[in-house]
Amino acid sequence: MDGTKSLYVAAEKIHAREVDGIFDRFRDGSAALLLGIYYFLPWLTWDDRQAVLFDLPARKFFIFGLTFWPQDFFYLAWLLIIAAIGLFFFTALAGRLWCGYACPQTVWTWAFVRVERLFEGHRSRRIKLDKAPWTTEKVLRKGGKQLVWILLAIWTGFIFVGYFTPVRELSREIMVLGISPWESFWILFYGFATYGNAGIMREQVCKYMCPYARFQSAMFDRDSLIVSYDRARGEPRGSRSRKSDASKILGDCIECTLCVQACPTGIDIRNGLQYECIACAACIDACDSVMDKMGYPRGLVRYTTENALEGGKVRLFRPRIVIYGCVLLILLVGLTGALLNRHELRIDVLRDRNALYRELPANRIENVYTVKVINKSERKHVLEFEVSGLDGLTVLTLPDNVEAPAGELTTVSARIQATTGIIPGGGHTLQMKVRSKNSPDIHASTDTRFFMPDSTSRGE
Amino acid sequence: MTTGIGKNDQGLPEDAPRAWLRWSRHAQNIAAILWPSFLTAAVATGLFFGLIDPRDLDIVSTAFTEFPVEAGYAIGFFFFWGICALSSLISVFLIRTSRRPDGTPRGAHH
Repeated sequence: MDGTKSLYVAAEKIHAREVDGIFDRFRDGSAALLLGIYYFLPWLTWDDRQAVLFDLPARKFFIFGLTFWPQDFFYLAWLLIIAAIGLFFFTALAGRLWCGYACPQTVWTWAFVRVERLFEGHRSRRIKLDKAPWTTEKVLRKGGKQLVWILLAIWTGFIFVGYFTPVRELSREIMVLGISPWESFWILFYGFATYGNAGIMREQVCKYMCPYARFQSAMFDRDSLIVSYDRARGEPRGSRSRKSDASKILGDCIECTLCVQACPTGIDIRNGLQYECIACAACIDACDSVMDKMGYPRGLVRYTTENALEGGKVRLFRPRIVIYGCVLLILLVGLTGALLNRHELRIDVLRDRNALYRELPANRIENVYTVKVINKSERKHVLEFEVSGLDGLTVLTLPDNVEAPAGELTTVSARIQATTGIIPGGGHTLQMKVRSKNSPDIHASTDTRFFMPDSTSRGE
Repeated sequence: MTTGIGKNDQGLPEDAPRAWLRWSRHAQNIAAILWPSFLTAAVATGLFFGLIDPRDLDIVSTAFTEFPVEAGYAIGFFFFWGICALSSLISVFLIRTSRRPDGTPRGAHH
């Protein structure tokens, strides 16, 4: 096969030109905010513990005042559905907003490019530096960039692990070189992935590796705001002097190619929308600055819709947007409501596997259960149990007074007893309820089965 | 015209100010195998260990008793990544080795 020897066909690097403009500043803001949250969050404390901690060994997720257990998996699924609908909504509204401003790939690439600019300067200087022989200055600039990149990558990996192992503990372990092999492995693994994705591959990840980049076009319609070149206004393109009155023969595009130089994925937006476009809007900022210099109106490259480009109107509120928006809103309100009304207690009942029932003196029948109660709250509960669904049942627990400490799983052995004759033979469904003695409005219940001996099989 | 949404692959014109960095087929194959499998393995790991505690797995409790529980999650992730990558590998292989509708072999020697 051709080209299998080298990983790159055309190996010229993309040196994206710096632009300044409203969208670039917006990305500066969103990237700084998101990175700030990522690097800062593990250091926050809440009730004497790390505010956001995914404690895998204990199988508990702490998010500020909430504690999530594996049984709360439902919330995670719900959150993922919200994320998916949100992606549909924003893509239908204005294309790849996610890619341009919020994707971790974009945000970390932004950080790595900032470091590169710090050491190697702006576009023309970087191109010159790449072509220059290896002088001391080049070694220092390239070496300094690599050093900061590597440190940033390792720091990113360290913070990542800090979401799973308490970050302060982790830093102490590093100070005394007592870090566990798995922790160091994940720090290096995540650091390496960050370095590779954000430092080396950058927008190649979007072009060749990202599935969303390929299928997002299915979520567009002719009324979605996308970054577009106004061909009708710009063509025929051509360079001209600033003073000449070229508007009679030429369109507004002066063929300065700044939009192409600014593009981090190396496309020409004037060829129409392409799947490589990550909607970073750098071309809009670049073109607007040129239009300002020429004294032409802004927006030769702008966020607009296909319909608007063809002479129609920009129509943002259309059925698709309204439906996605409503579904999103309902899901968000539902999740908030569910989280606010979360049950502090959860009960799971397992029947004793060895025997359906036990016969006791005085015509009493007993079923044995293992009851697991999760106290999801941050306070202790004293538990009492009751059963309903069948008459004449009594429930006994061992120990009698069960205490469920905050945030822990308590296992109780429970026996339910009945007298023969009242309840017919065979299996019955009953409800077991656990209630907090210290705050009786907090309770949880579940169904289980209760078995009585079959009267015929006992030979009566 | 903007009719080619998501499909335009013509790249830059000949006189473009710089060459367009493109990955070779080889690099694209590697990326198409490793990255989607990485993402799906992350989802699979989350689903699997959301429901199952690695300490409850017989193989972990008997064969790997000396491992910490974090190792269970890590091994699980790399196991899923491997399995998913194998599936991607076979998919890429089948696509790259099939014939085009006109009967010519896809991808290989020309």
